[in-house]
Amino acid sequence: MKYKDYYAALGVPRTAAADDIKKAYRKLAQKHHPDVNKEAGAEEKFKEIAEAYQTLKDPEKRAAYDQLGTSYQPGQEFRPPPDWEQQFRERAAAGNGAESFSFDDLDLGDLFESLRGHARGGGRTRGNMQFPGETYEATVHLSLEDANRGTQMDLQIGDRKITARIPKGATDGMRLRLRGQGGKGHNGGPDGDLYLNVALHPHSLFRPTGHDLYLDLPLTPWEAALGATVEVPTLDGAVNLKVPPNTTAGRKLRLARKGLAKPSGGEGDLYAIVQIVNPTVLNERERELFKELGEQSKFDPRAHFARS
Amino acid sequence: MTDDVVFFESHTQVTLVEVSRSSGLPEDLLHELVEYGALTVGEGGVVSAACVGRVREAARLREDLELDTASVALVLRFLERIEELEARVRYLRAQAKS
Repeated sequence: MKYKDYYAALGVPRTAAADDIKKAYRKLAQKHHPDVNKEAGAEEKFKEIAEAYQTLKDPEKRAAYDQLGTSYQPGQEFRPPPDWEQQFRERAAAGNGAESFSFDDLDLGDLFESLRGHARGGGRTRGNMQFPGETYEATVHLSLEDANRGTQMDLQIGDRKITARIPKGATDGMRLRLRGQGGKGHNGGPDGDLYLNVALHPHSLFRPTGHDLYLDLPLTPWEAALGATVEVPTLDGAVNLKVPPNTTAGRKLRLARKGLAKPSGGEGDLYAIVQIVNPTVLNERERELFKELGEQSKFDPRAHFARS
Repeated sequence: MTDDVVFFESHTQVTLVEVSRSSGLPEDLLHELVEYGALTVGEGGVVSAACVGRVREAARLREDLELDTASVALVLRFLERIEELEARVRYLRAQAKS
């Protein structure tokens, strides 16, 4: 078993009063809680702090922890005192009917967690009681294509590998619940649920909002002015889109039901946003034609400047 | 198998019993949160399933940060506001030229 310095985790001296331990925990927990702090490593840090507090806030557990003294370094292998082993063996036998166990496989935090069960006498009754499996929660990153047609994903949650089936209809920021795909129930209790938070990978062409998709549609100045039928990509393959004459930049052209599949049936829409793109290099003839257009046209896109 | 998967959309409705089961928060606390205005209950005592994720997150914060009910209510309101703003950002990003 590896030694952990719970006092260092909370940044308090070994002589700290219970109230100071609570204050230190509250301050650190506010800072590092993974629901508040989205930085990488915050979750690990919070787990360390929470584990330290779970042990040090309980006078019985703190006294047991203090027996380890100050001679170990964090991460150093150590052998727990013999009376710990005795306590744990009694609890394990009463609670789970387990006859043998090894301290080598245990984490210090798990050990203190189990001592709590012993102190409350919970181990004896919990042994035969039905209780539901643990609720799991995970974030899944899907491609637009997978969200649109549904997919299966292998998730690693703790030490369990779960194959989660995600039906079509998910989109960015959506949550879903997969009943019974969480932790296994105990003694015939129901299996826990799995909650998934969906995040979509950025796509090179389509930008999702809800179940609608947005696509930039580059047009030449003459396609926009004269109208055209152009081929545009969708998640189901290319389709022809009719661009009306006198189309301006920024106009949204809607392709109904070409967005993402919705869970309850139907699809969102696809919006093609018009961009007007000039050639970067003009040949002689093109230059002449543009010049002639410029001479002939009375169009002034900046007419409103004069009014203001 | 489809019945076993629920998408939490804004128009999906769940009972407070289900919210309690999914979040681990006791029902009487959920009723208090309704009184604080942090949860909106419709006819038949149902709430929008969109709140389930927020209630689960608030329940974790309550447990880990030892929050009282008023603070949990405040957290729920802020989480709802964050979700609205995130949806708004997604909408504006989708409109903007990439």
